[in-house]
Amino acid sequence: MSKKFFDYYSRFAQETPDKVVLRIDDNELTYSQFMEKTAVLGSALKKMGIGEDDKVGICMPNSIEWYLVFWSAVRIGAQPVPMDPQSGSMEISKLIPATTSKVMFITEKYRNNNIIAAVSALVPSQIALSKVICFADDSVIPQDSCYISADKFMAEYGSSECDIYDPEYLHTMSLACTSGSTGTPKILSVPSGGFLSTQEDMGTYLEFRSDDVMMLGMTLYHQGGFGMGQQMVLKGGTVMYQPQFNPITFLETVQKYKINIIQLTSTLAKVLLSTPDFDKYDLSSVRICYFAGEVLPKEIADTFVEKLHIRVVNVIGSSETCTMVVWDSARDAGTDPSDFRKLSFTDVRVIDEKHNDVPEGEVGELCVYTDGVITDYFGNPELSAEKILTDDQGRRWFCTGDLVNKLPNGIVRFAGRSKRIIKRGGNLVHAEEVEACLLTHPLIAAAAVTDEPHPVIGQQIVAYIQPKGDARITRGDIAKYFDGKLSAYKVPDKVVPVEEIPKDIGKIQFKYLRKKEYK
Amino acid sequence: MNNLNFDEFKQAISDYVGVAPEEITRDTDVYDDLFLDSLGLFGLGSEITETFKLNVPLSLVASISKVGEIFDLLNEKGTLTED
Repeated sequence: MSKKFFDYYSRFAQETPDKVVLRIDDNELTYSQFMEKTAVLGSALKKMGIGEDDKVGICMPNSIEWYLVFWSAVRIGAQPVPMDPQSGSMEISKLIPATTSKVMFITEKYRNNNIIAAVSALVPSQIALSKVICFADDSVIPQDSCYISADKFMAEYGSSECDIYDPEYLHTMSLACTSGSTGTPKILSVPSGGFLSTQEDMGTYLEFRSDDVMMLGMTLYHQGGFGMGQQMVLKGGTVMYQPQFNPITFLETVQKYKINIIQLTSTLAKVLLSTPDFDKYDLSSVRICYFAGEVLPKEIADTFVEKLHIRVVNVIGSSETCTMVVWDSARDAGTDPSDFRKLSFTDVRVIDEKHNDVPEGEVGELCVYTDGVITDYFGNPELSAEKILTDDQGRRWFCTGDLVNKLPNGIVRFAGRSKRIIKRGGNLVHAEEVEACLLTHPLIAAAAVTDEPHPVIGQQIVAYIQPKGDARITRGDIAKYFDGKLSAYKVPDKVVPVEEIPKDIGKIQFKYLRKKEYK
Repeated sequence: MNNLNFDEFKQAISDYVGVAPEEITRDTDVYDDLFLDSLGLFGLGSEITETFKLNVPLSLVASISKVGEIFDLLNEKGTLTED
């Protein structure tokens, strides 16, 4: 048996029972409440027949309930499967079977995405689930017997006693979902022991303390946002998330709760810095600003380091690696935040297509070792073999798909992505997935999706479409068509009609596309 | 006040989001009716500030969701860009 998260939660619940572990707006969860409530929800799941290695889908926005569902599943050895609450029916129809989820926890909606509608369009008519547990008012819960309100579920099945599962080191703690290039999701098997030790090591490296409060801009349902929060929780501190990002509230919260660590993406930082009277907010409690998910421009890093005197840490990696190759202003000040170095508990290789190390000065694919590298892509041995390499010491390395330049002194400089991935804000969008959805539109003959630089969100999605006949299609038409099918962040920002999509032996010729625009 | 014309403003939004101007009113919600997400709203914000040569803080754009509110924000708080 290995160390587990519940050893830490139990200890903190005894030592500091009233300490807040999670705060979202005005809702708080203390360490002792965490232990009590995960017992009720965990025992309810158990009584319903959910146990070791069963998959528990969660399609909910940031909330105390999200956190309790996740950890209740872990408590009984089941595997929580967070899904993006922006997911539409097209995504959910793939996620449930691909993850083999037995039950799902959902809320009524997230922003303009009606989650209950998206799920009830599929369950039970097309997909069978034992139960769909809804954190929603009875009036909006479907009448079918597989739907139940969370209150009723806990009252009917829950009790205050629930054993804590002891995982093996490589036991899958949870499944994390990311988009696959063809619309088939990639499902990450997150290892219990490695995920814990890597997050704990990172929290130690960052000198997180039990009296610290951390405010995250990324979300709980994003593996990175969740993991970075756990680095603080493993030290007994407090984490805070917002139901959805609001820059003014973010700054007011930092001031009100004297936040010590803030976690942002570059886009969120640009928005925060644009706030009128930004200088008037008291941010003196902030010690570290922790960036992930996007390229960090030097000007932004400099603003935080030089103007606000805050240590900036920028990480590169992916959900598959628990991140952990960093640029740290405390060590690397004066260099570009796209120059990364390994930490004591991580390792880096820069490899060519044959997996050989490239010489210094050349560009190759970034390959990262951490103990938290996923054990496999669930249900996809071919992809696992392609992306996860095991060395002669049995260490798992992940080929990130990031292209980097191998510089002297162990530095790697980010140089781009090796695949057609659009980095829109903190979201990764596979061009092929958007193309696949466009091609199901009855008036589109051909489509090609690419990125375009954008001053605020980094890259925006541009869809070149070749309409059938004389059809006229606007971005609005596409957005309406995508609504409920794919997440809102995958809707093209720009739609450009073209006479034809130039192709060469089936491959889109992007360099000729713009010439084909209708004038 | 920048004395912007709402019809011209509507047209600029329509050009960006691809929804017909007659479908856009002050009460149109950018998330529910124009199918933008929060990043798309920043994209729209950048586009209209460029069209009207006015700057508004992105953080204020991020806090609202109705077309009428964006129009008022641009009209009341927009400052002329340098070029």
